[in-house]
Amino acid sequence: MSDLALTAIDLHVSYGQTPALRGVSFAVREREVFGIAGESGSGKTTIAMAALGLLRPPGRVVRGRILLDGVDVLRLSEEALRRLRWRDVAFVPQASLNALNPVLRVEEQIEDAIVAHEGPQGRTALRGRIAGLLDAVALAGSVARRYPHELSGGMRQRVCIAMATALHPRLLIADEPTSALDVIVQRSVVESLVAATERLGASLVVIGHDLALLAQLVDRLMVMRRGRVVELGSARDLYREPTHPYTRALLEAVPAIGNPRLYRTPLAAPDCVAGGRCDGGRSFSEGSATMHDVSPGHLVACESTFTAAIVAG
Amino acid sequence: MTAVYVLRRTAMLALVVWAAASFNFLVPRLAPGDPVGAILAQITRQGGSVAGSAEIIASYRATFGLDEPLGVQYLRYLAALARFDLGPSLTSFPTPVMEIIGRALPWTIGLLVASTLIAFVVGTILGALMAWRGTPAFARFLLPPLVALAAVPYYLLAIVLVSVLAFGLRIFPSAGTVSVGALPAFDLATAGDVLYHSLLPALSIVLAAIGGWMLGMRALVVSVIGSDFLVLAEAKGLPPRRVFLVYALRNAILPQITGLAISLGTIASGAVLVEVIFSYPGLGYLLLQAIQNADYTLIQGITFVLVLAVGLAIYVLDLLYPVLDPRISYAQR
Amino acid sequence: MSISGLWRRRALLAGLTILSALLLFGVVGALVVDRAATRIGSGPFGEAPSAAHPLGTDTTGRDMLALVVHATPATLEVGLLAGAIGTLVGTILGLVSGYYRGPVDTLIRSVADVALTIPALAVLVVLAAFLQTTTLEVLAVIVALFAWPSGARAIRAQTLTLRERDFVALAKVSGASDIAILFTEILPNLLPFVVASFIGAVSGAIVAAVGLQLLGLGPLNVPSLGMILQFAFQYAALSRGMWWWWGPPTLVLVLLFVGLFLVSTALDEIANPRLRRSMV
Repeated sequence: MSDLALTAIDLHVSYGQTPALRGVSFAVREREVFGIAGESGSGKTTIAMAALGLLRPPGRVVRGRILLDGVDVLRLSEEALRRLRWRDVAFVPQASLNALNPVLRVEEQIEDAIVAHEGPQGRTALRGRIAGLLDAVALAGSVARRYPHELSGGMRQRVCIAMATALHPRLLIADEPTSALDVIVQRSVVESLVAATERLGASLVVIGHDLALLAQLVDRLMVMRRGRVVELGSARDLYREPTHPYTRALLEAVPAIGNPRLYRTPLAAPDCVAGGRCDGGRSFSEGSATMHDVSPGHLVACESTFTAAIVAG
Repeated sequence: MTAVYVLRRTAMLALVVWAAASFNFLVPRLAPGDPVGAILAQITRQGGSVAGSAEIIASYRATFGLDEPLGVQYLRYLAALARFDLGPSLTSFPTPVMEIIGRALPWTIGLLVASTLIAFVVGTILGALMAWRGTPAFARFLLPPLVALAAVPYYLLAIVLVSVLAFGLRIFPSAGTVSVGALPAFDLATAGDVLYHSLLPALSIVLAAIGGWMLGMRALVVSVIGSDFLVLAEAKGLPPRRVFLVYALRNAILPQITGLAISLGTIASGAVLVEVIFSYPGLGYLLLQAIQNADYTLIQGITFVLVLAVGLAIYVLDLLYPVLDPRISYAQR
Repeated sequence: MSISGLWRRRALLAGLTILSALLLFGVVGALVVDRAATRIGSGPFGEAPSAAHPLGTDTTGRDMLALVVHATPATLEVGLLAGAIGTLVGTILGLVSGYYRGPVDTLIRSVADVALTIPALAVLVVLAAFLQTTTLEVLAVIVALFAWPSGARAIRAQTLTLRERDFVALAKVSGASDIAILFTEILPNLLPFVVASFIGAVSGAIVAAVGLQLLGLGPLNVPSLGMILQFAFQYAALSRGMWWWWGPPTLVLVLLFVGLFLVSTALDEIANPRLRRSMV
């Protein structure tokens, strides 16, 4: 029983012939909030799908391992996978999606997750339990009898969070949990998510495209581009000392009040730790990238040569 | 279900019934020639007595009120319809049309409901299975032939079936609902006899309709499978059967039922023609005879009853729909 | 999607092949085979196929081969005429309904919905019975009454989305009249849908026309496939096992419907697959 909730080792995933993940390796520790940042197409959702065993053809794992509490989920049977879903790792979907079944009431949808893994439950006990789950995400008990279309986007997301915590999973994966929500609602949803995770003593993986937002939320964070990890480290490290040109571009893409230079192209880093000449991350080799240490726990990729490097802080 | 929703649906039904009634009112008056004269000519040609002709003409004039102003005729006509008075049959004078239809209607409804139900249920289930991962590959070979059959109208299939299986191979009876000479009674023997006679007509409808339902449901399940709540359902680790039934099927069935409601008119029309081919004593066969005898009041009565029946069936389905899809009546608010 | 790209192309090819073959059969055959052989009494009564009459004769002495050959183009004509009228009316109404919206849209849409849901046969029978279908053209016009709603619906749906597009806004800003916009900007983008709805309308029209003829409501003087079937039915060809009488017209009709179905299925991904296209 390791103290790592989730570990990916040299993960290569392709959709048909198109590579989506090119040798991704990272580890999420117990009770930590871990962020995955990147643009659309960088492969971040693919990681979540692969970790849950939900990759459907044409998506397939070409190489690599995903360890959940030390168990390689890629080697499990469909039935074993089904049993550990939701109980060991739960999923909070994108806020913009219609993730809830339109024809079932909220309580029925939470109930079937519970019943699927814990067997039939007593009516009153179940109802009380669901009410408790909803209360923990600041939703009134009356929400249980509602249908999804009767709830606002923020409320639906909170239902998803409540549902995800129902079986006390050790790991929660939230894929863009606040996209398409109003800014104020975003904050309350994020707060509910973090609070829920802390209550469970679980690890949380948050996937998003807003690096600055993620950095405020997570303990450690990795930046992805085109299926590769380009930088990984603590939130503080990445925010204070972004090393890879792409990371810096992402951070600077957020216009700061008073900052006259709103958008800048990736900068070459003349004093990069990798030494040699930096081209500002403009080139992209199909080959591999080497991970270099910037400081303890803070790694950056240089896309010229890659040697397998397990990153565990 | 909101009151507004029920009101709208009821208004729609009333509109359709009124339109059909008005149509039946207008067409004889706009048509060239005098239908009564045509009937008399027909009766004379067939060597029938013209003795009762005075009553027939008088009744026809009374039913259509041809002597009175148009507005009055119209109101009388609508009032009569409300009492289910469709006028007397011209060839079986003075038997009321409603009575004649009443004898044939149960047969049509029986055939129609049974065949449609079987085709819809079996077709929908098969279609859903075609789209699901777990279905073995060989079962998918059912799809192309059944879909090809669906391209053909019911009556063509009926012609083939009756000629080959009934007249040709003599496996099944070719006409009627009970064997010739049998005395119908409310017993098992008669029931079996009726079933035996109804099998080919029902088969014509079922075989020709099932492919359409299969194809439709398959497409619907495929689109639902790609949807987001299916992904979450699987992520929840729910048993595959529940995901299939409650998440996929339960959502895919909604447009399928809408499709049923839309198709009822077409199905009814097809079934009527199948009855003609099989001399099945329902509205279809009655219609054929009415046309051959130029019994215009009967023709109009039958067609009106057809429109009414289909309208009612759609109305019932419409009222059932919000029960299945909680989004519907809410949206109507 | 119901069928993948490869099958769609095969379906399209198969359908077009069948339809072309039927067209050839009808048109060329009508020129080659003597029309006189379709007259009553021109041959022996009710004979099975022989050397002189490859498809036999019916009980009134008409040569079956000649009948079928001359009947096919007649039936095709009914379908094409009714389909053309229905598609024309349906396209115009769909365009108007989708573009102008408002009360006009509500009216057209309600009428179309009613026309789609009621049993078409009921209305057609009343019309045909009272109006005396003396020629095939009259039959086609009557049948066209129910050929337009399905197409109107599809065209309306497409017009609704197209009118929001940039090139339409551009045309409006440059002062183009509504009619010009409809015909030069929107309509060209709708051509695939118009074609798809035409195929559907032709198929539905022939189903309805033959159905009416089976009831005895079609013209009986001109050979058409429905008329042959009606005679076969009336003279008990079915029970007398005179397969050469009811068989060939049934076969031609089945091929016709299958061919039309294949083509329309291939075009299906651009037209609404949920609406049934037959009317009877």
